[in-house]
Amino acid sequence: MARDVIVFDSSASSTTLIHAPTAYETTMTHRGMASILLAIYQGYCEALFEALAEHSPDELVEIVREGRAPNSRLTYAAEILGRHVASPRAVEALRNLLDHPSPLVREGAVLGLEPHLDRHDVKEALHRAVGRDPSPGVRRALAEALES
Amino acid sequence: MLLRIRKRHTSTEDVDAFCDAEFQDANSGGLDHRISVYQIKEPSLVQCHAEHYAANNLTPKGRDNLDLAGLAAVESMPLPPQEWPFSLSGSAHCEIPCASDDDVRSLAGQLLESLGARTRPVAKADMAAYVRAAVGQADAEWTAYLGRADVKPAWKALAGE
Repeated sequence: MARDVIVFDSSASSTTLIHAPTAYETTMTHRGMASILLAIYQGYCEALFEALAEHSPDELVEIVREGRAPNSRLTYAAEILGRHVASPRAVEALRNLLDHPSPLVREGAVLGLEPHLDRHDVKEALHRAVGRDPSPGVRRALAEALES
Repeated sequence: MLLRIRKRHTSTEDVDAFCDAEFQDANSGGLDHRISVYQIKEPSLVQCHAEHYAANNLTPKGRDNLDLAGLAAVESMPLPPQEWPFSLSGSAHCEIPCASDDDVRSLAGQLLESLGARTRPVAKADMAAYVRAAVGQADAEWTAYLGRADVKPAWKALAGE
């Protein structure tokens, strides 16, 4: 049985593990942490995405992969995911967003992929998008990312 | 001018999403009822834009920023020097108080109606020229900023270091 291993302060802005968890506790902690954070913030917002990136990155990957948030927030989720998480699953989720119907979301995907330009597949995906994306704003974001 | 730094190039391509994307409260995801702006003179545009990006530890980017002058009253909200490394933008920081979501949407609607006249673009090349000149003149604030351990490599590259 997992013990309670998480404490959080009254402002809910930080969390602290109070002892090194076992493997079982780690799994339960990550799931529990995502539930706690989703309950605390009661809605998708940048602060929640930042907290998930730190404490439950797999949950943030799923939000981006499944496009769970509204477009005006998904764009920030993508940017924050790419800034903090470098797993292949995170990068794949961001690459898939380059085909999202919303230019706002595609721009977020570009910003999220920018820290991973050292990966050949990411660079190639962004170069391909320059030639085919219909949005002037996304093309500007792509040009800025590729010149950096 | 009342400078609002845009967050996304694409926000004006989707009129329905403009307000939610540009005036979103980072801590709730709802609309921000305290809209952050800088009250500056036109010649300080590039400096203020560069300082905003640097102080927030963002990767340097150009943006088609917006001038909200004449649309709403502002309250001066200077940023504390211990939290904000640049005096010009810190002292120029203001907030537009909005009573409700409807107020924010009304402001966004007025902005969109006069977008062309209110757009104040800053290119990344403008930022680079400004930062390089500041460093060349041994500007104390930029020298201190670029010497910080957590400064993004993109800023050092922008400054020509």
